[in-house]
Amino acid sequence: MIFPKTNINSLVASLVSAGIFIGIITTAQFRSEVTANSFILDEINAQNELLKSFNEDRSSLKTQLTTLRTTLSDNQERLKESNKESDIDILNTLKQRIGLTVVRGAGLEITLANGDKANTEDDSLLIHAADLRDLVNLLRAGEAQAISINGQRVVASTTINSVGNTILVNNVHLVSPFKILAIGEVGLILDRMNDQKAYPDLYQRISAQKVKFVLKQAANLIVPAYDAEFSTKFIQKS
Amino acid sequence: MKHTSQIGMIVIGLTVGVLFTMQARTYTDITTLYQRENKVNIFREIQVLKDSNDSLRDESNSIKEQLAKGFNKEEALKNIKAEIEKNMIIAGDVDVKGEGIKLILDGNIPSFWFVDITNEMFSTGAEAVSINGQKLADWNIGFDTLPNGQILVGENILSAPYTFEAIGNKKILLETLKQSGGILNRLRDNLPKVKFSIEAYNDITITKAVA
Repeated sequence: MIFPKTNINSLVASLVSAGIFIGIITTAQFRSEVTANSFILDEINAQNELLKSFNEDRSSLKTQLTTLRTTLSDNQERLKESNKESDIDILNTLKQRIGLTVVRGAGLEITLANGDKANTEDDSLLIHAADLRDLVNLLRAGEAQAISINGQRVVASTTINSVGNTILVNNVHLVSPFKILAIGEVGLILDRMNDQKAYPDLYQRISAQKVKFVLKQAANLIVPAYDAEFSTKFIQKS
Repeated sequence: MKHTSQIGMIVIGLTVGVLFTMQARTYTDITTLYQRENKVNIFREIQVLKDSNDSLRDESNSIKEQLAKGFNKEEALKNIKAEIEKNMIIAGDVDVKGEGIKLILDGNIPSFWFVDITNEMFSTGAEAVSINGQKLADWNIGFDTLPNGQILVGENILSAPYTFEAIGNKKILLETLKQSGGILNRLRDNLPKVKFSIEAYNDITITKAVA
């Protein structure tokens, strides 16, 4: 079969185009791997290793600090027995006020969790750090005496931030579900919780059942003591 | 001969297609990695953890020193006084001073921005924060927006302009709050009418928290 020259050129162009198209479709079926020794991956791995090492240090330092605080408190209590004029009671009251003691009492237990079909493409199904900040703010405005999130005591300087897929509370990584305990006047706290204007975004997602929210009243909650540091490197009494 | 060149063209086309797509897929993977590993956050997290661990170590060492001195009554009483003084500073019972920053925001600002700004300040190492002279403490740190736009902090009503004062490492506080994608950037994007200024100071004084 003999083709005219223009037809041959069109045929060649069509074949090349078809080849490129088939090549793209075929290759797209396979996932390309980033080479293990790429600079970017090395950098990310190094950062993650560093984070892991700091987190391990932190965990061990916190355990050590808790033990030391307990030993010191025991010594101070012994001193109180032998010296009635010591200021141990003042110290203990201050410790309670800044969150260094376990608090027991009635309050609310709130469970906040990602929606069932949570994925990274639909943010509204996920619990964000801002949601926890808003909720803690509500509890504080409701005059809660003590608050904790997944065992982390919330104090005035507590920070709640998003890092990757987890949430950092007191620089500790937490993941959904989040159990929030709040000891205080239940009526006052519930008044604040019922004000949907105070947390419109989260309230809307709870109402639409995009995220899970369970609220229970409890008579005997236990909120743990703050187990991290209070930095006073830059601050001094005026 | 013609068939050979046609087959050759198809092979070249396939090869170009394969190479093009491999390149595109590899680039996409790298971009996704970058997006997932937010550099600003991971570097900040490393810095915050490092500082935080240093503080934990300092506090542990201080208690160890106290315990190492044994059960000396005089020494123990002195340590109790020092601990009371430190805890009074943390509780907001005394006036405090130190280097830090002053942030002034003028405009109508919803209360959640106050939550986020103070969270950002504490995340950046602030050791004490006040708004319009009201020191934030455990008992007064809940924010609420009143119907007329004023902000309720504890039992105090605040009106614009809002002056945030934070004591801490002034350089880190200033750089972090002002950084691209940081809290002030986000505030400006969301509330373009709000005017703000931020400056570092060698000596900021925050008066004790008052009901």
